[in-house]
Amino acid sequence: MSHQPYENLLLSTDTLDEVQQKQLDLHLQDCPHCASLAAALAGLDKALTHSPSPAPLPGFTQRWHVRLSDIRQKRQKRNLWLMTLGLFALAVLIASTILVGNLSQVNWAYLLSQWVARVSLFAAQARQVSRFIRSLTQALPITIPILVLFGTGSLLVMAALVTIWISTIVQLYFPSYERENQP
Amino acid sequence: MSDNEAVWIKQAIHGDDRAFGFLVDQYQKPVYSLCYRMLGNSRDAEDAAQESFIRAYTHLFRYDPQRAFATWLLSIASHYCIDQIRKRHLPVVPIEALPAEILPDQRLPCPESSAQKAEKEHMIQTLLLQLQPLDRAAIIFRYWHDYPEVEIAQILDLTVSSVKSRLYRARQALAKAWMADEEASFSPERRPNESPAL
Repeated sequence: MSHQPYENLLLSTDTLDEVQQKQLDLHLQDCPHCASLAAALAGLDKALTHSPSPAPLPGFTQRWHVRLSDIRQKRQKRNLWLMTLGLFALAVLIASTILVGNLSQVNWAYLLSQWVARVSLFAAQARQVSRFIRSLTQALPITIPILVLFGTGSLLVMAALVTIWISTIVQLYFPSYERENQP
Repeated sequence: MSDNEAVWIKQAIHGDDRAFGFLVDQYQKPVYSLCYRMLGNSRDAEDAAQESFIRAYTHLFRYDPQRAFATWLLSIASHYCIDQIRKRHLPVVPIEALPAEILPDQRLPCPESSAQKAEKEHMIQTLLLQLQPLDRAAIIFRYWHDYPEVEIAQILDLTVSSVKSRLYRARQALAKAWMADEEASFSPERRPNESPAL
């Protein structure tokens, strides 16, 4: 047995006209499937419409006021944080702008060229000194070692003479010191 | 809309918390009821109802006075509940998680009848929670708030034909579940530890 359009009529929320209602009633007498559906829908409708609406616990409005003030406080805190962050960001922006502006005034190319020139000058001077020493050794190849030996020998003799002279003065002015130290 | 309501709304738009408090007082029950039917427990319902009022208050400047305030408020509440259901993927409430306020109250003179009521209430809520959020909202507005399909369509931002088809589908699902439940309750079943003679 076909259950349409009767099932649709049962499940629809539209109001049925007289003809539709009569046809449906006749069908429900013969069709146990649609009859059970109609009974279920009737029970369901009754249960849903008679089911009491749950109510909130007392003090709902007071709790709402508390919640509202909590939310406002949180928003105020958040706004304060946002304002602080905004000010900090603005300060950083201003500082970086000033810094970049100042740095841009320095002539980096000039400083670098000066440094390179100084280094080059020092290298040239060092090169000239080494070249002079080399030319000297080339010009006087034998006299240099003789001069070195003579100079060293003279220095040693002079040091010996100074030592003897100092010891003679000490013996002359401090004779007791000499006697005390004798065995 | 009553004159008082219009005055309260005007005052609330200008930041009068007390005036909106009167509106909260007036509409707390329908909003809470909707949230409870949508979410299935009192804790979430309280939270959703409170949040709906907060949203309504903070967006009151968007309210169109040509429209009923209740419709606008319930629209906010229903959309909030639908969002919550989608976010949390709220499951069907198991029997163990039966909310405290629908459990039989021991102080009542007839515990048997209150237990039956609680059982019925639980069954209705379980049936509702099996529906899709929008279908559930349509059923709640149709049965508990007695709204016509045009107004349900306005509240849920749907077309009237969509509301009709949702109601049709929801009623079909509920009727099936109802029949299955009735069959289960009539079928004889031996309880655990019960004598086989019974």
